[in-house]
Amino acid sequence: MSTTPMQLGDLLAQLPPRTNQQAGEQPLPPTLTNSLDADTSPWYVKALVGIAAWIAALFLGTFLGAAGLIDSYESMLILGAVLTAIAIVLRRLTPRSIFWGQLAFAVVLAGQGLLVGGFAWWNDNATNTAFFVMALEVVVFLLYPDALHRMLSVLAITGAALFVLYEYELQEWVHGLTFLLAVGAVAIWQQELRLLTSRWQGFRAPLGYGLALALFGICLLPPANDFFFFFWATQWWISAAVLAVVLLYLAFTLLHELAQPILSPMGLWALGAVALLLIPAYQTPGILAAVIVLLLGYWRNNVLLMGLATAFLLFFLSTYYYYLDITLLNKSYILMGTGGVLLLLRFLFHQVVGQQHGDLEA
Amino acid sequence: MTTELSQLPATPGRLRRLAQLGYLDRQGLEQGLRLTGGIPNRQGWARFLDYSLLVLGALFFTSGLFFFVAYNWEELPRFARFGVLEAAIVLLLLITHWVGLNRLGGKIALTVASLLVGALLAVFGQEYQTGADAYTLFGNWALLIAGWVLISKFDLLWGVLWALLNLTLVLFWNQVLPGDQYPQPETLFALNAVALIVWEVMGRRFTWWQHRWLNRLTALVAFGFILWPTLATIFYLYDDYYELPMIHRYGPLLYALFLLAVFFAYSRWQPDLFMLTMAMFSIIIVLTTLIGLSLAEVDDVASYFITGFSVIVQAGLAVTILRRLAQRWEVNA
Repeated sequence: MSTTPMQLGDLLAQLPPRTNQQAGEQPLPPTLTNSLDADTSPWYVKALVGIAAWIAALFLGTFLGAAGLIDSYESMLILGAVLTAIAIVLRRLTPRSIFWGQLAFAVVLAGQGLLVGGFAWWNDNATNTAFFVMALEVVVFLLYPDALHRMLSVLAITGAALFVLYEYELQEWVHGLTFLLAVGAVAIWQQELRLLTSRWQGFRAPLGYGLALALFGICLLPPANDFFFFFWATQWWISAAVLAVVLLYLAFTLLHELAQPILSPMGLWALGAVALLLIPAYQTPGILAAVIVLLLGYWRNNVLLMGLATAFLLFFLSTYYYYLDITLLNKSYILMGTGGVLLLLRFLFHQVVGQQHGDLEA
Repeated sequence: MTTELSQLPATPGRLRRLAQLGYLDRQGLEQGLRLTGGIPNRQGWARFLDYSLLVLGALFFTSGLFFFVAYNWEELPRFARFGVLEAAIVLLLLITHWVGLNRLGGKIALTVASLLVGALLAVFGQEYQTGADAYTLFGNWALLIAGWVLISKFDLLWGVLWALLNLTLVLFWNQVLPGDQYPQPETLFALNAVALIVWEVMGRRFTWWQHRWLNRLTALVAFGFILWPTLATIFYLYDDYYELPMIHRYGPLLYALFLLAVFFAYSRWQPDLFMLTMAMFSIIIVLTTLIGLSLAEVDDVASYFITGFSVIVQAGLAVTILRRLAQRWEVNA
């Protein structure tokens, strides 16, 4: 990849005027790291904000309970609705204030907790509560303009959808959810540049990261099945198959962008690698999910996405150990065989493609 | 010295931000990203595929070999079990020698060889039922690969050594001298604090130490271990013991000194917002614990509200300071 050190001013001057408003009359801002702007914060600062808001929300919720303010489902529902509404208004009125933003985050979490708790108490039906969570999170996703909270909403909606499938004994439909999440994640990152320059830019990060994390979450179910959580879905090869389809689509898209025919050396090597990964990914779809996110991360120069994918890939590989349907010896043959062929592919790739592109390794 | 934004390096992150602020349209952003490498070109993808095949291949193969050893295949004679692993190690060392340690292939081969040393020690334990504590396995493993790590020019392999040393020490305390009457967290903190200093010095000295993931992970673990005696002191957990090591009394002091060192080092010497964020978060944990405990003795109900509110204020302050620092670094770049 080209890493030409170039100054921002020089680069902007190289862009055609129609694409470069700075070339017109709009001067550049003094800095891009606005101390009052949450969008410029790195992920770990946002994580600090999120964790602190959760802790604060727990304390505030406990206070409301201990103070006797929530002694019935009516009081929970009313107080929850009021707190959620206040938080939304507060966040919209003070979009740049760190303190009010932090307060609003804690209040909106406490408000939703009360709303869900109140609904569950009143309705006394877990499935209806899950539907309520989905509806509530869709509303809060649209109305509460915070990237981190929106990402949490995506995760909450996925969790509630899983619960509904479980309650209706439609566990095998989870593979459809896997497909939707993977397609959604690919679509968002594929359209990243379009989203960034549109009025929908606020949805890019929460949807992009949220869908990827939700996909990983679903892929945690097969190993969890063997341990502490019995989800009943057994045909995880279907998830692996649909993820392979998404991975192939992504590979074709990337080859198309690079103007590489599918039958070019790079295309054939990429397809060979995808086909090989299907062997260990049978019953461990997380491996394919991690590879999809890894590709998306590299495509969009997104270190966080690549880091997440790497961490989950290592995790899914280690859970393969606990997959019970085949013996450890056969697992070892599959893994060693896959690894060996991948290394062989790499060796051949180096010989063929390396000669076209010069030295591949620094 | 203040730098104009236009004089700063054109990075993909800055271009994305300019697009978000409306300075670039989609075509401009895409073109800018291609010029700065924010969208990989054909050669970039070829290199990525090359690295991915290598790393994934090595990862799968090594996992398979570990599974093979774990299977403890009784039909396989003893010498074959040792032979498979030893042959693999020798082959990997030959590949390392052939490819060289300046290339990723050589580094990965040496890393896999280092991991297989652990598998070899595990087989040794299985075969001869040595009955030794697990910490000796990890300690010997670390000792045996230390020389390779020194010459590896690879931060991942240094990370393996670091993980092994931590495991050795944790298992030593758990298996040999368990209990709060021994300086477990302090020694683990010391190990990680020293490791952090070593990583920082190496990062300054060697160009191959390019990433900061190991530095950050080590600092995170160091914070975790020093928060343990600090919080135990706040919760009066050590008061139940008659004989405690003196070092426990100095847990909060060690934490404060580490905090100061982190703030100084990563705000001036080696600017790193991640480290400062961790330090801020640790302060929030300690202060919230102090506030909550103190108030709970006075009024239970009010303590929940005030503690929750204090978390909001602390996080707000922390984020304000962190963002201002980041802004100052960018302007003074």
